[in-house]
Amino acid sequence: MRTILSLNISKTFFVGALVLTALATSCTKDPIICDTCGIAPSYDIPATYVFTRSDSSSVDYAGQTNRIMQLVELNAKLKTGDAGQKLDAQVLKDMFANAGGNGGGAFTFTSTRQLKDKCFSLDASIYAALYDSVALASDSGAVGALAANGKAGLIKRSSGSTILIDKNGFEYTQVNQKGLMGAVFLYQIFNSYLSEAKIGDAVDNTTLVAGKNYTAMEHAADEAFGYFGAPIDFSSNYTGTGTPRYWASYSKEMDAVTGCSDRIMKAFRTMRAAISNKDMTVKNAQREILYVELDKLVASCIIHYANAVLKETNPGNKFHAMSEMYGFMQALKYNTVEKRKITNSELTVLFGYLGTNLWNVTEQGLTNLKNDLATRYGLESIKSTL
Amino acid sequence: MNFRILGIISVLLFSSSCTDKQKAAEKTFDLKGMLENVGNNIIVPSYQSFQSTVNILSTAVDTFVANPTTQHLLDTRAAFKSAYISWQKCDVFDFGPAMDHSLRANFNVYPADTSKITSNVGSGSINMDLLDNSAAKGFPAIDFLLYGENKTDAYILSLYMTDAKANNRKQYLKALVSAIRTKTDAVVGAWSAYKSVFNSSLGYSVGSSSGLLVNAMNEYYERYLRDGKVGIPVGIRSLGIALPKQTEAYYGGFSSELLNASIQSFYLLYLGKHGSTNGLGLDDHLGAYDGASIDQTLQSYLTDASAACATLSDPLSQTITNNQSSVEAVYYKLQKVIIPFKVDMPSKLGILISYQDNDGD
Repeated sequence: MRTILSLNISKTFFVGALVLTALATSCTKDPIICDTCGIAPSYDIPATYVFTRSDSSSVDYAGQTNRIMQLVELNAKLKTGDAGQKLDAQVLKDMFANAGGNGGGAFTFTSTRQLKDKCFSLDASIYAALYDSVALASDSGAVGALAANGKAGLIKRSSGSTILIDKNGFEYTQVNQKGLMGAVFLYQIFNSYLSEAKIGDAVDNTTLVAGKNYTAMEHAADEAFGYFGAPIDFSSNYTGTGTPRYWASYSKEMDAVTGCSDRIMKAFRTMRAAISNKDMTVKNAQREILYVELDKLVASCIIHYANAVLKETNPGNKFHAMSEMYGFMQALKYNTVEKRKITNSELTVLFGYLGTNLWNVTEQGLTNLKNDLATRYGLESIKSTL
Repeated sequence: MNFRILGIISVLLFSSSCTDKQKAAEKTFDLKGMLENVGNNIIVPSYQSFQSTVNILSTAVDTFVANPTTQHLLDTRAAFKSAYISWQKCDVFDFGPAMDHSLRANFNVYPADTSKITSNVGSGSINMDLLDNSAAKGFPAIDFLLYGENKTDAYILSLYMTDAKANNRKQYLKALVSAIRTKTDAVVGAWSAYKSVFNSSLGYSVGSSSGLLVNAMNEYYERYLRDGKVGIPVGIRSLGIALPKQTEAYYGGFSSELLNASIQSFYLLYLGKHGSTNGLGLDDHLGAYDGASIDQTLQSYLTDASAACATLSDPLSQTITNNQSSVEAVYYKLQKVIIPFKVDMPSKLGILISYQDNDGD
């Protein structure tokens, strides 16, 4: 607020102040002030992710929702392995590639989309190998074999339920889930939908895509938003009825400490409004905010799970949290080379703190990892509360 | 009209009518006074007295290792028990320095992994930093090394005298106590600086001291007091099948004493009571925030739960085996505290419970 008052008093600010006054009593909306440019846009930024043209919605991210739901169902399948049932590698692969449009019969819905062809291509083979490995391990799980250092099997969590971990302690379900959140969802947001090719100033933002109610640039913004997994009315302290999925659900989990959900949602809404109003300056500013905020969300999740491991006393919970952390660590590499705060060789150092066998993780290693990320991503002040 | 004034008015309007938390702040309670009481009169003295019991344990172990006699074994066990009881009064403060040093994960992961302990003794080395050793160090490992399972004192003594690995075992025992001592000293040292941070982080947000304290108390009560000390061993998480070996201090057989120390100090912390002085605590905070009825409920449930715990006899593992339902009844008394403590009190004070017992996935 102090920043606003110290701005030069101008006509623009007068309008801004009026808006602020109007909003002041309701407390339901953000004051509409552009964070980076100091200019209040002349157009409306809707309070929820709803945009229309000629009275009908111009928003479409059905493909992203499909893939998110495919991961939900693939995840549920893997969890049967955590519960001690046998898994079939081919079934998992068919779900990953959406064979026959219904995951080889395993999905409850049909779709032309698939996770596999949107996965960062160099990493797609990792998941095929994971499905082979988990199927093999599930044979041990099915006979109740317990995991040990060097031996895949089940391990009990404090809730009484079990998880299936590989011979190095990695929980398949988490490595797959967090891994694909990075390799598909985040990779696509960063490298496709927020890219110059899809949302840069040169992209067509005038003609509507044939048979659709949106421009190509609007659609790119929607697809990026779709992969975030948020209900249209998502916000900090969200209490709505929609289900935040994956990145949005972790944004919700981190929000009490980071307050990130409002910032991310505001950037998505403002970016989309700016595109529809041909305001390239604001669009580009919001895009930068998303690159930073989503990266920061990943780092926050890693620190959160490092803390969880450091204070954990139940071995099953510990491997579970370490596997989640490992999956989130993978996600750091999917930001674009120019936007990333961490190089590939620095990532190697980071993974070195964890090592390749979770049975050998040390308190010092986790502390190093946490401190590195806190400094790198500006999370020093909240690294102990995350 | 002056635009600047308009701006200021709008900001004032904006900031005055927003959240319940801010409404709550209009009620008067000396939050700083409560934090000072809890920090200066409860937390710091609890750590200091724990530190002195650890020092006594350290001396006792040195004496025992130098000269393993029956008397020295008994002295060491007494010092061990006293330190373990004293730890019960500190375990709940798992934020700030305790969190930075992972105290709980270093001191009290049980059941002890006896095969790992035996193998560490055999190899003559332990990497204390390795997370996988967490059930082979701390109080539970010392418990195993000082008592063994249904062993005579003479047998235990022989492990430190004539056994082929006697020397390794002595060194292991010393290393375990020394690790506890190092971490304890670090946390006591860190609190001397952290105290002023704790006393002055006002408000009710997630990183505030009241947020940290109430979250830590909830997590401790739910997971480590209710579940760890009673629920898990009595079979609540295993379809009613009792797991008596998962009691705390299983080998020493004084689990109930630890439980009683734990719930009593928890109750005193809630009250802000130290010695005979009843200082500002969460009970007073509730009272000042129109929450007297929640406080009454909580006090009545905590009184019931404490009384129920006091009826348990040691060794708790045997009580569980012989009379499982009596211990289950204690669990349900402990359980009753959860709703007022985890839901009603935080919502009345505007504190968000941000820890999750089990992540959704």
